[in-house]
Amino acid sequence: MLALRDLSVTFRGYPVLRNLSFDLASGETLGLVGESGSGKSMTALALMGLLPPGFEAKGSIRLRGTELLGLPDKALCRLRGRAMAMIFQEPMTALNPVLTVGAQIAEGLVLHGLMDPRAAMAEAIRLMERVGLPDPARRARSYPHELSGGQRQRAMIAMAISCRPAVLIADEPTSALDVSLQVEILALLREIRAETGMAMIFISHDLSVISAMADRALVLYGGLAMESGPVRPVIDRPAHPYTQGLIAAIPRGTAHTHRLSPIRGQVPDLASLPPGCPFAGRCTLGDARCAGTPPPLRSGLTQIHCHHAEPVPA
Amino acid sequence: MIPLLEARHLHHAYPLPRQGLFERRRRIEAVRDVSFRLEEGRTLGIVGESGSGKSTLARLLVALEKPRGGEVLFRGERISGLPEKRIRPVRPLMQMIFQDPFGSLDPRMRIGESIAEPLGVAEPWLEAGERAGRVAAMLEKVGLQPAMMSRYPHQFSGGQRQRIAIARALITRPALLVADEPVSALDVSVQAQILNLLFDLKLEFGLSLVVISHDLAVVRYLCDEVIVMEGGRVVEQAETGRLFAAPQAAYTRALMAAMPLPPDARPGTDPAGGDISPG
Repeated sequence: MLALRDLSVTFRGYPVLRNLSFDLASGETLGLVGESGSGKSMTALALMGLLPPGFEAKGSIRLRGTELLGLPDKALCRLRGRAMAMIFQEPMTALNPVLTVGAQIAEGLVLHGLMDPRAAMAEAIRLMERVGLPDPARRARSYPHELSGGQRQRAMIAMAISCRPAVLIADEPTSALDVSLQVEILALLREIRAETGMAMIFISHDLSVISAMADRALVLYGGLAMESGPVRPVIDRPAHPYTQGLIAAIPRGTAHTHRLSPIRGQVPDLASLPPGCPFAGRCTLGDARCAGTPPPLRSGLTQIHCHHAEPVPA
Repeated sequence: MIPLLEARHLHHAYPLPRQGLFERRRRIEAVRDVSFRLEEGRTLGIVGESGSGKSTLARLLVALEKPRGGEVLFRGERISGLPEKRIRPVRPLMQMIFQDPFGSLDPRMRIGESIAEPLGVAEPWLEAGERAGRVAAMLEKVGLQPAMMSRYPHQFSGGQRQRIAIARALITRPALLVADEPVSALDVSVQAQILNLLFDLKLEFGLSLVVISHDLAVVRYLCDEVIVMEGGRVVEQAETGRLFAAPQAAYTRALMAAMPLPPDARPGTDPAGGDISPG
């Protein structure tokens, strides 16, 4: 349904995303994993046609056969919300502070000509009930600041699913929430996915959240896909040194008995990435070839971009 | 033995905005009846969700705020509710680091000056050369190069800034370090570096640590004992091993069930050889 081919994004000549390719079928969830600056949010913005000024995208994004890259703004507007919708980490900045929550949820339905305002408001209240907001008829007249963090996130989910999008992009939707709320929101997203059959792109830095939500995982670093494949092998039997490092760095045991194995060095800024593998400078296997030449794609149980590591045989 | 830090029936409340002109001003009870003892060289974790009162408790412990009830003892001496003048001599011995090192470092100060600043209060008699020497040595201890002394905070990454904040906190050779969400803002790959560093420095300096975190994996990793807070109250208090092996309070169990870890790293099934037995 959604097909990315060699999607590259540059900012003032610096690569932000490099030749990203993946397919997504209805009902399927792809987990995008990465640290800050890995390009995961840029991927989401490129998909939505919302790249900030100065960013240039090349390659191909096809949604149900329609090429999205280079589509005029007006046509994109018709697709946004209907074909693709997005939820963000911080609902307070994504919601309009001077509009009631109900009006914001209903807005998309009216804008896309699906319902008249009265029916749209009734649908908004139904959606608010569906996402578990208490007393939805009254809550619909509330402003975002009157809702708690978890309630705002529920309202944003209601808004995103109002026009039954084919693809829902969730960018760190639970990272700003307490763990107990996080569990509830993830459960809600799974239920809605099952009900609507929509495809999801789930973005997170947290591998455990990815493992709970995604069918497949794609690990990004410095704008390049380090490893991708079915979620279990990527997490349980990673082949790429970066994925291995990420998993080894998760705190486990106690400091008295178990020393953590961090990845050495710092997450580099985009301007200082080598032309070859972006992970070259921090990798235990990295050498001159890694820094100079983009790594080849190799397939096994998972797919990796690496000069040295062997893919786990399928 | 006199504990390094002791909290006795601590209470704290913040006033809420007045609802109407003649309404009574209501308060929110942020900390309710919290008591514990922390021995020298031990690490205490304070766990809870946002609004549970853990950061307020931290501020009470290092006398950044005066409790409305109860007292804080540092090496057996009361430090709570005293005028600032009488707390000042103790301040260099109790330091604090925060979640966002960018917010806690002066952006217009070279990091060498930032790190040296607490020394000006603690050991004002030091000469410039000695101070610079102490800063250089401290930078090396936190894994940075002494030559970086003349740079500004914006020239560092998040992980490096947290190292700078740690250097600034430890330069006065404190006995107690309170770390409020020390790794929450850092990327996973860098988080582990800072956790290793905190543990190494704790051993080297004989520090007692109070670690505040919403992340149970971080707390389990660093702490000898844990306090679980909910709504300002302590709902459970136990040695780390015992807490994770057999959590008693329903709230603790709920937090653990929600613990964001890959299945292979959940408590009880740790294949990496991490110690999960009590003690």
